[in-house]
Formats: sequence, structure tokens, C-alpha cells
Amino acid sequence: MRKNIIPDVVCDQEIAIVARGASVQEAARLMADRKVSSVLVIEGSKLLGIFTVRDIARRVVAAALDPESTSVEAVMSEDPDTVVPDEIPIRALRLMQQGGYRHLPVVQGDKVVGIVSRRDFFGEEEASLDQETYLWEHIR
Amino acid sequence: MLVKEVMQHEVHTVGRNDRLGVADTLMKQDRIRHLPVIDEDGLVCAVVSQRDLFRGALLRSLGYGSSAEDRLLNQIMVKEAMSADLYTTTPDTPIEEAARLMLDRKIGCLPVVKDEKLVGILTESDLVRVVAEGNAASTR
Repeated sequence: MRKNIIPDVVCDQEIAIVARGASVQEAARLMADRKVSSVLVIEGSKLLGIFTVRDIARRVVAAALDPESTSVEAVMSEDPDTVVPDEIPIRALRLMQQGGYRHLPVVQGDKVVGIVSRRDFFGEEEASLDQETYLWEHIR
Repeated sequence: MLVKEVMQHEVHTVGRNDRLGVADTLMKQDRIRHLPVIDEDGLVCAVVSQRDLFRGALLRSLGYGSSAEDRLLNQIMVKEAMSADLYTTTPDTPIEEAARLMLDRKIGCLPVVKDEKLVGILTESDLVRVVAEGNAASTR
């Protein structure tokens, strides 16, 4: 079983970041260019929010907003949950499952040092979470 | 903008009687999270997701051991793990409407069906591309 989020699950990441004034279109371009499914919205070094592929579908396209004139700040998820680099992977996975989201910024002090997605978890952690969920469902 | 202008025309599929190992291999090779399932009459009948495959890992966690994952995935049929509900769209549906269906049903992709035949697939990533290219504005 992997021990820590960094460096065991993710490491040496080039995080996709946009400023709070960026447009949805700029954020989408960054996602498309980098082939990532989320960007972090930052002011200085402070994490303000997260904006994901799912948000583009649900908060922009479904709502028929104009991506060029809509700021990413208006449609991001504010103050997302975060984990520290030495968080145990299963705890991060459990947080994502409970919160119903697929991405979790990794923060050390005030600085964003990574981002972990559900896709980074395979095998043992997923199996452990499934087992945990299964047991809870049958205990109740 | 209509679904047919955005969707992917080449779609990987699996048969409902295929083993989960086939779906697992396709998803890993092409880095995709969803596969339409085709029934004996050649019609799309469901979507199998990466999450459905993880459910297979539950069996592993209940005592089979991690080394048996591939063997297990090759014992379980797609029809035993696939999502029961199927939501589809058509080529001539506006993308906002398709995105709203994804939003309402909490799903990440829609098989595109014309005259009962599978002609494409629309995913959240396709919507990112539209927004990044600045084409979403032409839908209004």
C-alpha cells in the first residue's frame, strides 16, 4: 500500500494554474493543451478554487454561458478541500468519495504543491475503499 | 451548436457478454472512462464505466488477493457490472441540452444514437474542446 500522496501517488507535477481574472475559455484552453481535467485558480500563492472538466459541462455549457466573457472565478468551486503531501492515500480517496468530486489539491502551508485525481488511484486503495463502503452498508 | 458537430465518431464498444478484462484493457490503452455496451442485436444497451470495473476490485478485496485481479476481471461479464440505466442523445440535439442531461443524470458521457444505431459518443472532454476553441458561443 502506498504511504503518502507525494511522492507515492503523484510527484514532480507541473500544476495547471490560472489567475482569478482568467476567462473560462482560457481555463479550457489550458486544460486542452495540458490534457488535464482540472485547473487551480490562484491569487498570489493562495488557492481560491478549482475548476474542472465537469464544471465546464455543467456550469458553462449546460447553462449556455459565454466562455469568453465568463470569468473562471464565477463558475469555479470555491475553497476546495485540500490534503497535505504526507496524507495517507486512502484518506484522500475517502474525502473524494464523500465529497463527490474527483480532484483534490495538495497544499503545504499556503503553497499548492500538487493535485491528485481519482484516476491516480487504482488497485489497493480503490479496493480498500470499496471494502470499507461494502462493510458500512452491511453493518447498517 | 449540435452534438454531431462535437461528438467523437469513432467509438470503442464492448459486447454485453464480453468479459470485464476486455473493457479494462480498452480503457487502459485509450485512457477512456466509459464504454458503450452493445447487445446481441447490435444495439447500445448500457455504458460500462471505470467505476464499474473498480466494483470488480471489491471481490478482490474480499479475499481473492490482488494478484488475481486480471483473472477475476476475465471471469465477470460486462452485463454483470454495467450501469442499469442508459441515457442517450441524438446527433441533432443542441449541446446545451445534452450537457443538461449529463448534469441531471450525473453522468460523464452520452452515447449518440440515430435510428437506433450508435453513431458516436459525447464526453465532457469534447465540451472542453468546444469551449477552448471558442465555438460554444455560436450555440446562442
